[in-house]
Amino acid sequence: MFLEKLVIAIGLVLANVITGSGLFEIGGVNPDFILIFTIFFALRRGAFAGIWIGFFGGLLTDADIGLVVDPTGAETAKIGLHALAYSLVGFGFGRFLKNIYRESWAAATLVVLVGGFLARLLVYMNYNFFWGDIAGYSLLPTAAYSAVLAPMFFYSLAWLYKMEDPGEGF
Amino acid sequence: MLSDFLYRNKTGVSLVFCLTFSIVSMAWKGNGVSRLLVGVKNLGTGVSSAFTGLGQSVRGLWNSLEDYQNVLERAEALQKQLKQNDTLLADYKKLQSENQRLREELDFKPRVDYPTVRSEVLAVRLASIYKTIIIDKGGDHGIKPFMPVVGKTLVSGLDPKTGENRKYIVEALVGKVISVDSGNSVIQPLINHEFRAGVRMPGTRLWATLDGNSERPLQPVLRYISSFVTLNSDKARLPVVTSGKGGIFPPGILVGRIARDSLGKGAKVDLGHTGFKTAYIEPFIDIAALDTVVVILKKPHAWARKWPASKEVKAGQPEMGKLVVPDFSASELPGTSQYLQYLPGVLAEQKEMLQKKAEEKKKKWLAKQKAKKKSQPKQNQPGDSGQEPDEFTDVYLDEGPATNPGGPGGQPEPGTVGNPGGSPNPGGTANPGGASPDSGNQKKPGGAPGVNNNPPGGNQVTPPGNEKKTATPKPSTGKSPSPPPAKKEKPAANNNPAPDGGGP
Repeated sequence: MFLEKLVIAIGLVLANVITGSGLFEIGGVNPDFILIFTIFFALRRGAFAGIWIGFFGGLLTDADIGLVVDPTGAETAKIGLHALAYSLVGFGFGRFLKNIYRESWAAATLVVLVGGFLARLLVYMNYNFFWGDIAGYSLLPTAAYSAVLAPMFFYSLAWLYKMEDPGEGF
Repeated sequence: MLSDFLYRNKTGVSLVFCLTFSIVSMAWKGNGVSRLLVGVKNLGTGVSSAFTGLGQSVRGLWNSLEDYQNVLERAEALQKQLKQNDTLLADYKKLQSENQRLREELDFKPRVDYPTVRSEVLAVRLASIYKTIIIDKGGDHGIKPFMPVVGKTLVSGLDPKTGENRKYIVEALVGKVISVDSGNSVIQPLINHEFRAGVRMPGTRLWATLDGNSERPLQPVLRYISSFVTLNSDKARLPVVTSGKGGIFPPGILVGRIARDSLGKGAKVDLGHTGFKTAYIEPFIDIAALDTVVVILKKPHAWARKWPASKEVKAGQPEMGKLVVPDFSASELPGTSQYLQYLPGVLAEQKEMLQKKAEEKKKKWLAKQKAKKKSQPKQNQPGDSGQEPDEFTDVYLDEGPATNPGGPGGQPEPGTVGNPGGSPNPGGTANPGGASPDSGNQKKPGGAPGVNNNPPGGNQVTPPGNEKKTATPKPSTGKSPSPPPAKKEKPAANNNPAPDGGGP
């Protein structure tokens, strides 16, 4: 049980590193591997796993931004920005789609497209609400790119973790 | 009981916890948990770097041991090499002098106004919602937040001597430091959505705010371009540089060129910013391909000044102290630098002196107007309603890009941006030096810096000096203020509306 969680944690960190590395960047658009990871586990393990994997994955992404010194000299962080969006998406997909989801190339693409768009929309709205306008934030392109890569990663992750559905537990 | 409840409702409880934590963290931006998380992340980065370093050291030691057998042979070879080095040293000195000469030829002079620190780029995070660059130098090297960062790049331009197109090595703007650790720093690049800087185009009337919050991920946007400025010529591809008025960046650092699709009709009128124009800019620096940067060790102007005792930085506050923006009284002169009021007595004297000057000019102007009216009693002058012109009340001590796009140095560049005749034109006069490319060869003599709204007619009565003036409407006599006519200059283009950008 602990080993499995450790392996998932390592997977999350790797997903974070790959996302940040810009290895898959095309025309300034990067896929969101943390989100693919979250949706994958939400669909396999349910809402509980989706919430926590989304939460920790989001925290990793937020921590990447680091501390920023504003003109008043105060240091601020943007923790919670992605954590909120990813945990909500993890919960939603695990709660409502787990039982109807059937593994296929098209299904994987579609769920990541919808999930990616929703998550990024949430991040965009939160940013606007708490920090201000961000004009160049990519909503659909990133979601679409993630969706295109999703089937490959879904199959790779399924092979890596060799999962059999353990039910609603984590 | 509680544990049973929590276990039964673990999904709901988890969701509530995660949402609450996230929302509280976002609302309370600098809370301890957030800082701890970022610290842990940084620690993780440090640990991984340490592991990498340790691995490299072990590998290096192993390699050294392997090579030990060859050390004696090497020593022998080195002795031979040492003799050769004597010859190389002479070559080196020769090359050094040649390099120096080439530098002088290229005009690639080292920066002398501020000390600099050269740094390697560790990571460029353009995939993140908050774009940053991480470098390998930090507080230990004298770097502090808000220091400007530049990078070397190749820019093509015309050689003033030969007139041919050639490449120059120049320093161009990368961004500014926003966070400093002992051993590394975080840079906010100019394509970060929170980046702002004052910019201008030397020799033209273009003053604007460079805003990283752009719809294009790699092209920041110029905002608050005066609607009088016309971007209708290839010469508007002149480099845009920092204005230096914001206090963070020194003036004259190259930024980029206005994107081709923003020229002409591409320059959008930004309704959200009260009719100012906007244009995208192509930065000279390719942020994604950066490998080294230069941090200019320049503190913002505000910190370079001595603060009054009442505004002293208290212990426990951040390193630079909280910036305190003083309150302006209603009587404060517009455009006055906020810091002048800390120089005791200076502001009061200047205010008094300028007010006196303004009064004198006002009297002279009124007397002149009266004399004219007497000499031409029946001639109505459009726009001359007898009201006092308000230009005499606007006396500027300091001029900023947003309020005065044609500020210091704003002499019109022939045929480039800038529509000298673009002022409101009730007299129905034309735009002599105006927007058409044909008129590009015109040159306005002695275009006083700071004068935005040049009169449409050439014989306009404009009080001398450097103050902001608004053109008093008056019928044009068709005399152009421009001395040498252009190749295809249209004679006395009266009664033609300005073709492009001719006023709001």
